[in-house]
Parts: sequence; C-alpha cells; structure tokens
Amino acid sequence: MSWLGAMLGKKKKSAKVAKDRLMIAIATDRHTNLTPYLEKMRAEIIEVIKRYTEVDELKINKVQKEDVEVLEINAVVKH
Amino acid sequence: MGIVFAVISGKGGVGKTTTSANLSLATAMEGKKTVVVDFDIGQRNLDMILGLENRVVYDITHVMDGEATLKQALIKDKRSENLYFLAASQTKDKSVLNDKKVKNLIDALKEEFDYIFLDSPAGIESGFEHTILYADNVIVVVNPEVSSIRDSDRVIGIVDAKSQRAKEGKEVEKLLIINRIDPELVERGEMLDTKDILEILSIKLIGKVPEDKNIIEASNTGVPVVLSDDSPAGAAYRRIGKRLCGQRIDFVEVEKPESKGLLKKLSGMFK
Repeated sequence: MSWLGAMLGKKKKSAKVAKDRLMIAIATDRHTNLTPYLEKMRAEIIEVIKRYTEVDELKINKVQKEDVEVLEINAVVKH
Repeated sequence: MGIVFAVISGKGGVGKTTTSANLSLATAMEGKKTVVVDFDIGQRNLDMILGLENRVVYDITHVMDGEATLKQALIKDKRSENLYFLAASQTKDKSVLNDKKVKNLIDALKEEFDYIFLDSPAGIESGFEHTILYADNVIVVVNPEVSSIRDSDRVIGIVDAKSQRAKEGKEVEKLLIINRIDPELVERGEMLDTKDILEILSIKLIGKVPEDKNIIEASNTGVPVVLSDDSPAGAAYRRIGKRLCGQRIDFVEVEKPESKGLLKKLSGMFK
C-alpha cells in the first residue's frame, strides 16, 4: 500500500460506519418493539417497590437463555 | 386464484410508487393478468406515474362502498394487454378503510387477476396495516441509506406480527428491492452495498435498481421506465418482473460502473 493509501486507509469508509451503526440501532429497535410493555411494567414495578422501600434504580432486561426468555429485574434500594 | 404483493417501505420517498408502476407493467408484459391498486388513500399518485390520471372516474373507495362496480372502476392500461389499474381516492382519508371492506375487495381482485400489486402508503399508519393485511408477499423497497433501512426493519416486523397469513401461522414472503443504488458511491465505499443490507435485514433479495435520471422524465411524462429500452432502471425492473414470474434471472452487478457503458458510448460515436 502506498503512503497515500495507508493514510486514506486509516479513515473508515462511511458505508462501513453506516453498517455498524445500523446493526446496533436495529438490534435495539427489535428489542423494544418486541417488548412494548416493558416501559409501563417498569413504572408499575417501581410503584410497588416504592410502597415498601426506596428504590434508587430499576433495570429490566429481556435475555435469551438457550430456549427460554428470561426477564431479569434488578432493583437497587436505598439503605 | 391471484397472488397479492404489497409494495411497502418504512419511510416515504424511496420509490414505492415507481416500483409498483414498473413491476405491474413488467409482470403484465410477461403475460400475467395484473392489477395495480393505489392504496394510499388521500394521496393519489400512482395514476400520474402510470400516465392514467385523465381516465380515473371511480376509485377504490367507490368500489368498497358499493357506489361503483369493480368493472367500472378498473382502468385498462393501453400499453399492455394485461394491465389494469385501480386509483386511490383523492378526497377521502385512510379512515374509510376497514378490514372487511379490504378483504372483500382483495377477494374480488384475486378472482379476476393473476398478480395483484398494492401500492402502500409509507410508514406504519392504518393505511399501511390494511395494505399488508391480506398480502401473500411483501416487496420491501429500500434506498441504501441508514434511515430507509432502519425504518424498513420496523415495517418488516409489523408484517410478521399483523398480516393475516402471519396470524394463521403461515409465512409471508418478504422480498427486498434495493432502489437508487449509486455505483460510484458503492465503489468508493461511501454507500452501503447489497451484502451489507442483506446482512442487516436478512430477507430475500429480488432486485437491485440503479439510480437513473430517466425516472424523472418517466414521471414527468407518465411513461414508466420499464417501457424504455435505454434505461438501466427499466432493465432492472424488467428483470425483477421476470423473477416474480418464476424465471431464473441472474443478478446484475448494478453497483459496478459497467464497462459496457463505455463500449456503448464508443460504438455510438461510429454510428
């Protein structure tokens, strides 16, 4: 590769950038579109937990474990 | 019994109506009795692209509401024996559509025609859902750019969730057309290529259409490019039409600026 090519080669082609960005954006979209209830459920769970304790942070993740889909709920409560 | 193709896209302006016009002409030229229906109620456009705007008397809503028969509303295209057109309403809006009316219309069309193309409104509004509801296949039109591809993934998801075939547990075949490919940009790595797009969307490719200035002239005059011998996009649409009719047609590398173009120019000089 010539020095010019080497210099140009350092910059990622924009099509490659587009592809990488799309892969991530679409994976996120698919996840949210499959679980449209997630946001509402999160709010309701926070409500319930708040009744008994103080919740700082609540995370819900839908993960695929082999053949089953698992909802992982992590609640960080205040001491 | 006819086969229903819904022509869809995520965002507007990617060439859905142009695709519907050209593909319906292409399959008609292949001998299939074809009808193309403008489902974009309230935004009639296909009539202009087909050059049939002066012949519209009754539209789709007249037929669905029983104010005209299908026979009265269908417009026969004079350029092909086998092509008929049903216009969208320009005055009403998409709320006039309901499942039952749409089903009755499509059932009636399936009795009469081999191939039924439905030109869908863009996006995910109710008009879109009615277009895909009774589709056997969907033709997804994308441009090689991020917003078009991202939005199309979303509508593909809706087809899988909401079409009648999907509800019955059957597969809706999804066929991809990559439209407006700029060979020079692809060559330079500045435009997503076919491989990238297929990897992202993972549906079946049915055609690649290059960017072609003839499209503008075609819409100006109402003569679709598929009727022209020297339009690269027209040739691409003819190939897709043949594929839709079950012929095995190899994909042409429209991404590569073809050397034939230069040869043509040279041979043109000596004419």
